[in-house]
Amino acid sequence: MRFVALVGIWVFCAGLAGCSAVPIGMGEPEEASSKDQGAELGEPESPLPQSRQRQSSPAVDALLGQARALRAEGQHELAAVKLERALRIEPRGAELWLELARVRYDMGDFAAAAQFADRARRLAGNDDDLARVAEQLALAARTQGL
Amino acid sequence: MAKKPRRGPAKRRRKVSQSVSIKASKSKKTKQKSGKRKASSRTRPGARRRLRQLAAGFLLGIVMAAGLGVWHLDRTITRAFEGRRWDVPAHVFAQPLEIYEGRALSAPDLERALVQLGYRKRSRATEPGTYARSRNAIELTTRPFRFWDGEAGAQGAFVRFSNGYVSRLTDGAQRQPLAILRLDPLLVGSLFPGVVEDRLVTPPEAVPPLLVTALLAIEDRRFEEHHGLDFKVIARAAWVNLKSGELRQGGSTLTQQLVKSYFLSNERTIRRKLTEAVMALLLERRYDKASLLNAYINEIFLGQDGPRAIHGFAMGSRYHFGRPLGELEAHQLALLVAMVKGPSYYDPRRHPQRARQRRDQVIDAMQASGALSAHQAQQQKRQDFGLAEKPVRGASYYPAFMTLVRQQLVRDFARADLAGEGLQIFTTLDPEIQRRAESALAGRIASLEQGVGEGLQGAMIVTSTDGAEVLAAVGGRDPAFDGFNRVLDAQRPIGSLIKPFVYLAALESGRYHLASPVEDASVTVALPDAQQWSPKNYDDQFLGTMPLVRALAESRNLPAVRVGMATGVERVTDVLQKFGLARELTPYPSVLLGAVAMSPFEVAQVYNSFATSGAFTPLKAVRFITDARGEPVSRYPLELKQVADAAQVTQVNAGLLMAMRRGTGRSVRQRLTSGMEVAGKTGTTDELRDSWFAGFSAEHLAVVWIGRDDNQPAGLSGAAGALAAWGDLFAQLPSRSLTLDLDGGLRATWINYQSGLESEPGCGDTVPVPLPLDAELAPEPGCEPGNERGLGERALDWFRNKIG
Repeated sequence: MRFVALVGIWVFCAGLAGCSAVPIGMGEPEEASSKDQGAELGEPESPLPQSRQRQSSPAVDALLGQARALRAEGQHELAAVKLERALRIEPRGAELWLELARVRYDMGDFAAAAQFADRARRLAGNDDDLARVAEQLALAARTQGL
Repeated sequence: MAKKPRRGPAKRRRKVSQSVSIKASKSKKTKQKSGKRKASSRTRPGARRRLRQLAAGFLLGIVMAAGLGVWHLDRTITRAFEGRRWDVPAHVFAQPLEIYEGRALSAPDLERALVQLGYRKRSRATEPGTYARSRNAIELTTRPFRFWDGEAGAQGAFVRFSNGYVSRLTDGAQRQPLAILRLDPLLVGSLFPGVVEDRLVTPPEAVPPLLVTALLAIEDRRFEEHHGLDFKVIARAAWVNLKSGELRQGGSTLTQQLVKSYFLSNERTIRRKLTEAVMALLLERRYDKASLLNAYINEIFLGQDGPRAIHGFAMGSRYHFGRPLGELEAHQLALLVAMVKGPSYYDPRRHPQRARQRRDQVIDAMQASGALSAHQAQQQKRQDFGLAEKPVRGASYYPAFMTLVRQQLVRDFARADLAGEGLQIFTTLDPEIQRRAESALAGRIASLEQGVGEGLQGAMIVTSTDGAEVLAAVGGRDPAFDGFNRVLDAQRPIGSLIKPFVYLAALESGRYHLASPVEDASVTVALPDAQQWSPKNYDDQFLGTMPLVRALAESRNLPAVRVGMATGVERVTDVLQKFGLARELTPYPSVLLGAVAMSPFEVAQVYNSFATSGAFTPLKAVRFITDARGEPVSRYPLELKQVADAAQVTQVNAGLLMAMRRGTGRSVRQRLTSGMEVAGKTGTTDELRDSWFAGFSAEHLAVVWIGRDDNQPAGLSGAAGALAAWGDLFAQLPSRSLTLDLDGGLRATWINYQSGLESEPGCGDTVPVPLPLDAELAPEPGCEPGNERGLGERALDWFRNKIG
């Protein structure tokens, strides 16, 4: 019985979902009429899409490794280029932002270092260590910039 | 290009004759002297000696004058040749395609990119610049390329695909995993810094061998052997002309033709021909055959497009056939070569019979030289011209994008710095996204015209979110048209696009959050000039109290004006400015409904800061510049500045997300990949003149404008026009789904969409919104969170939640 009810509700909701499709017409009113919305209910709104921690990727790891090595050799510009490439692949990589902050710090660009460190901190998620390091770096950069 | 120091025959000849004549006169003098010793010589020898001295001097003078003349011609032609080189364009590259495991990329997409790069399909892809394709895998070997961050040698690789992603990437030989594979970047254009014209300069390796064969066969058979002039041909031409009594045949070598092309002179006098002949000889003396041939291929006149001359085979190919040179078939190459003799006389559109006859002659010459078999030649001759529907206007393939490149460079470099030889400019252009954007805009505009009539135009710009790199720029529905670039130059009132800025300003004032009640009720604003302004909603309705999120998602005018006036219009213009609008704005109340003219580029700039949670990054079209050898010259590093509170921006973004889920943008959502989330804002202006949409995923931002150039009403709302085109792009574009950062002071809360009160999810019309931690909401009656409700209702909710 429960199964039938489940199927019945599913069909009901699917039908309503179909009705919610709005044809793209000409001269449509700008706003959605809220009255229409009432008729389309049945399907609850999905939760907010939240960011998940992404898995590491070999490409990003390789570039990060190269960047670290270059930074150790003092080749800051090249290290930055590698990191920017990595960030195009993984824009939310907190490690990448942090390393880029370090590179810019080493280059004396304290304003940029602070900005990147802030971003690293915001993206750190559960990684408290990273967040702490990033916060310290941001502070140091801002102090230097004074 | 190599210079070859070689003593030319002409000068040598002259010197030889000079020394011979000196020897002759010397021996004459000595003979005379010895002769004179015998006879008594006081009076006669003096006069004769003076005469001979005079003669010698005169001869010397002529020789010197001739030498000077030659030296002058040498300088002139060298300067012209080098001057062309000095003006050597900067080569402009798109961004290189980077392949790695997990990248959203399909086998057909990679193949398309390889074909565009001129990679050749083979059964085994062991040579650089080749690839092999099986259903779910591509084997390839990249071409070596010197990137900013290192020299990349030719790399063999094996790419496996699954469900539109790269599932495995290994090297070709060992099947060892490869971390990342970067293709050589696509050459998309050339920039002459000082000149308005762009050209498509073809480097030697990109010239189809068949073209060279045909060219030499028809125009200059002994090009490789002669030293600038082909006397056999001259003699025969002279003979033919003499016999017929008119100038029937030319006898020009390619070198002579090259010289002629440097100096736009229509005079065909003997003197002119002689000058050109000498200069041809001098050119050959200095430069090797390869350099001369390449200069010819890039210089030769192949047509006239209104005021713009079509120079070079690459441009000729684009102009006549709408395709890159490397893609042309043999008969098309033959047609271009046929036109060398006279692009107007042999214009295939105006004189098709003549053109065809000559084209077939060239095909015959290709066959005679062995490049084509008899069967192939026959088959090629049977082909129609294959011309582009109408001549492809404009030199550059991506004129709108090239304008952005120039704009960025000119801002930061003095013209002199840019005029170096052969700079290489590495841009942010993504040719695949550009292709999709052009197609989406043109297709949608054509379809819209069915309903609202002809004369629509549009613009589209696509950027990355983080990094703010311009990936595509479409200046009009006819993207190759190098005319009005609407991405930069169409300044149009933005209408409702302003609303996110109004609400962000409100949030910044501290008096509002996303669920704050706002009034959709009539409002009258007192204007400075004692006038009054009573704006209306589009539907002329008043819906009363509603949460801010709903006012934004449904683009209600009255709440925006009320909230905007309460917050202060200057606060709103401040937001626009810190998000990157360079212009000064006067804070009139009408700003609150978007009486602000902006270009699509400017809209993309200011919306980008929403997509980055409040960071301002200037849009960029150029990443790096190197010199011709690949040495770094300059780069544009990643920059960002957090200019707004991330938590507040996230709230506005949630409103824009709601707009796409159930507000004015919802019509496009079903066309996106299932589960994909995006945020965006429609914009419509007075009398439906402008149709705007600005929207973004996690990865990409795109702004679309559709309207009429003459500013007459287009008859399209933002949703009907621009949003549809945006949807056409995003429906096919692999792009990461939008997510919201709820860390840092926000809590996901469920509220009733009508009342804005806190609610149990699924109880009535609820929506999730991110709110500040200290936001206090009254509960929705009957749907209080954690409320004890009937078992039946709760079960129903449970089922609904499971399905939804």
